[in-house]
Amino acid sequence: MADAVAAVPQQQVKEREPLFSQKNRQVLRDPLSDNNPITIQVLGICSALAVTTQVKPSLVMGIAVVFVVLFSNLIISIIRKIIPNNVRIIVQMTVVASLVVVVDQVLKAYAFDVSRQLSVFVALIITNCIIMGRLEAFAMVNKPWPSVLDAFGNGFGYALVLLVIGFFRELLGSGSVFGLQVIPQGLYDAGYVDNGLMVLAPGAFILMGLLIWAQRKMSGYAEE
Amino acid sequence: MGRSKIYSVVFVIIITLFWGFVLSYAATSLRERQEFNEIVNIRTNILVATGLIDRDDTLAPEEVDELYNTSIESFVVDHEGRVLTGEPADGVDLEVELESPDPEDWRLPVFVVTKNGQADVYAIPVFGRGLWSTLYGYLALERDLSTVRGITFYDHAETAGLGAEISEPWFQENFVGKQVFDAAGNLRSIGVAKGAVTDTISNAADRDYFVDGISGASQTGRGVTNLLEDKLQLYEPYIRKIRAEN
Repeated sequence: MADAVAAVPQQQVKEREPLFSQKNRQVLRDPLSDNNPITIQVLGICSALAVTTQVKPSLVMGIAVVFVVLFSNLIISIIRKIIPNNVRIIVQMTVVASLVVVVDQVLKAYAFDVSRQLSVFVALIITNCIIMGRLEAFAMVNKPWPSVLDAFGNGFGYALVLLVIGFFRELLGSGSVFGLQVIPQGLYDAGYVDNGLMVLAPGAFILMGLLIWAQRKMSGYAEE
Repeated sequence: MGRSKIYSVVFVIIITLFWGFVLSYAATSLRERQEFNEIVNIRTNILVATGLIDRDDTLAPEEVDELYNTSIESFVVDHEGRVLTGEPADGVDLEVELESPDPEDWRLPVFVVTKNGQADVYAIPVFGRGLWSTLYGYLALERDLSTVRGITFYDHAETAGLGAEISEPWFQENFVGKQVFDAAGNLRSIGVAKGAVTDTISNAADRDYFVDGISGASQTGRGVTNLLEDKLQLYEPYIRKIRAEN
């Protein structure tokens, strides 16, 4: 029995490509910049605008999305061959929704303040197009390992954009980063005021637009 | 994929059962910790309203619990202001109490900070409708039961950037030092002005009874005005009793 179990992976190893082959590296790297889910595919915008008033909720939201997309991609990829095709969306939805509820419960227990700040947006990860998109486009037709890389790439690609926007919104809107005051009191005494617009939705839109512009300029991407 | 319909049904049932178990396990194993957080959140707000901790203080949940237990005394009073001895206020939810049609059944929680053996600050729960949601908070009054020591709003779902400003320090600090009784001893409560008090309330003597409003959030402001008046009236018999004793 033990021999048989040991023998199977060995056989697979021979056929399997290296863990970080050229193709796999691309799967991981592409969504970080050249095919970023937010700045290129323009998915997951709603939550990216809503939770980025400060760095801390942006970070927690990023981690939550990485967790959900990682495990849903992995699970769906593992069971992709036994999922009946006619109910595959329902099965994907069930997996995503369950993982999101778990995240929500854990946040309520161990990161109460942040979970209050994120409010409904944790639950709304279920409707985040990035996650369903990755399941349907990637995990359903790829092996578990590339699916994990794809999830990391997309999850971090999303989290990265959130952090950048959160950083600038908190810095310009509240004069702090991670809740720590960085703009010296002296500057306020000299007449500097925080930009209130940055705390509101329009500030997020403006920053997001600038970020998309910068990103596309760098990668040379253009809408057809 | 030439699989039968029965296969699909069985597959979905198995998936659902599996995740059902995972979720029930997560919910039950974390419940205790979540409920503790809810209680600590409320206690933090009482401590902030009474001025025992600062808004910006970040205390561990256990520290909040400890401070609350050592410095706050709580009890319940009835609608005529009589203290119901032997009934702790912990776990008494004013909103639930007021659902009873008979005022005789109401138990109104009061939280008191004592200093040198004397009651120093009184806090009462306040809640009421805003624009989109019910606002929940605590109002703390000084020993004279007229001067406001502090106020907090800890739960609401008002418009972010507009009505949600009621959670902001500037709005809440607005209340500190205002009066809920006038010189003649009549309950005035505190109104949220439409704009800055200095611009909108012409009579300087009235400015003690108004706070600066939030532009773009008139409905939320009206909600705050109403809920304060409403809850202060509810506690008025008790407050008058203590004021008479002083």
